[in-house]
Amino acid sequence: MTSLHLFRVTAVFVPNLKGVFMKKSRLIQLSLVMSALASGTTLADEHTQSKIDSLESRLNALQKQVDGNNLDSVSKLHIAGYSNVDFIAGSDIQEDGFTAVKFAPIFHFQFSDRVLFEGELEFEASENGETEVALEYATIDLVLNDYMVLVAGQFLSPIGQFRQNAHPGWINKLPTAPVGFGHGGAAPLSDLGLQLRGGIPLSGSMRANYATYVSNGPTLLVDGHGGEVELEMETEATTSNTDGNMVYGGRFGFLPIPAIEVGVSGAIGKIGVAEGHDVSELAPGEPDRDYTVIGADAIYNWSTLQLRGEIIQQSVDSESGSAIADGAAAGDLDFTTWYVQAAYRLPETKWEGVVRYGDLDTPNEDANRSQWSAGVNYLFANNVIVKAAYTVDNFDASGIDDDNRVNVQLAYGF
Amino acid sequence: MRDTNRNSTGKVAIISGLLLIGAGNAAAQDNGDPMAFVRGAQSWADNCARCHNMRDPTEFRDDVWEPTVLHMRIRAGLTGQEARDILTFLQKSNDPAKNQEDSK
Repeated sequence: MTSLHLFRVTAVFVPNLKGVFMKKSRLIQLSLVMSALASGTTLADEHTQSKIDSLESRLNALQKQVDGNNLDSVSKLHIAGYSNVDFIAGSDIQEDGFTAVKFAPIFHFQFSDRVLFEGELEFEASENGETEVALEYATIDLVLNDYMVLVAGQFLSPIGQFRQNAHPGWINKLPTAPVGFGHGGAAPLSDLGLQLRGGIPLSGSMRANYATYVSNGPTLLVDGHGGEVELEMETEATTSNTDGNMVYGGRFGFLPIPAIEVGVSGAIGKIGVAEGHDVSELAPGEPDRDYTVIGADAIYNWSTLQLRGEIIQQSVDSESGSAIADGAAAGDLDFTTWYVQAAYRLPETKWEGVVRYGDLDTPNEDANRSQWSAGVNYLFANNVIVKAAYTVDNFDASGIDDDNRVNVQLAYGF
Repeated sequence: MRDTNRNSTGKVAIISGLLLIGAGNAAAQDNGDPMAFVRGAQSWADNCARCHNMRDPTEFRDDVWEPTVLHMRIRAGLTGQEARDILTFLQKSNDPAKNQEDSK
């Protein structure tokens, strides 16, 4: 075989070394790139996994920290309350201006699920620039069972509904309390004693609730200074039960359907008589008086419409032996107040309209009046509300002019 | 003196009886009751807007809802079962992210 033959043979089996080299080179390059990519992907996966592991670790640590805060403790503290700022304009009795600022913190201390302390303070700016502080209520509540809670201390009167459930600014749908339901009115405000209260399940969706109490009771105040005799029921809780008598009362509420609640209230007992405004000392020689309270209330909620009304009467029986203020307080004394109210919130809006009509009738002719009030509310939130209402007081006494005014209130329940 | 002692003894007996009646039920738990949430939602809708505007369940943490619901149970005259159901509903409704995770 000649070299030429070998060349030709070689040429046949290795036709294009340069091409093959190029192909091989590209293959190698491609392999290198793929290898690099694979390595990069692997690195990226490892990096991502590392980040995931790190995040999981940090999340677990955070969870442990949250669990360690021990929010599920046996004792719990909660502070709630409400505040309101008031403005008045157009009144014949007082000048235009900002008339009230109130801060009412409510403290709840709970121990297990059996004991609750609840107390409300009220801080208000006064006319002379000072700060008035009052204890609205303070009770230790013991849960006896699913239907009974024992309440001991100073409590809001369970007579009626307004005082106990509707007086805070963010709940009351008008800037003012119904006539006769505030301080110096005809409805009991608070008392110091013992309550037993709870809920009662009935058939289907029917249910009931009750509150019974024994307490120190109110005092009849007789102020004969200045010629005219003023009679007032002092119904705020006091620790001086100077007459030594107790008052027994309560309320029973019935809900035939969830939208409706009707209640009846009452109390009986004997009360003492004091001269002036000091309840810590009774009028010397003045006999104690028989005392009764009767009340009825109802509330109806249908969609965004709410209707409610109450009537309460405190009665002090006559006493022939009464000599205070030359016998001015000897006869039967009735302090009666009632109101009806309708509130309607425009659906899917934050606007609400309210109208209320009420009446106050007491032994003091100058205080007796009917009152109607119409207002518009805007709810920034369900617990933040601004209210504007036009109110007219129509006094029974012919010598007293009507008082028309605009009340505006911003209230926040927290 | 004898009548006074009888009256005092009677009052003590009545009070003790009330406490004994109550001893077992106050701390009953509804852990794991699948209907508690449903009942609670209904009770919440029936009762929690009777006097005031409805408060959003997301407004408070679980531990804050406890004394709040107990206060409202006493004020509104609810039964213990109603209060527990409402608490279950509120505590399960106040954390949308966690509720989504629980439902997976």
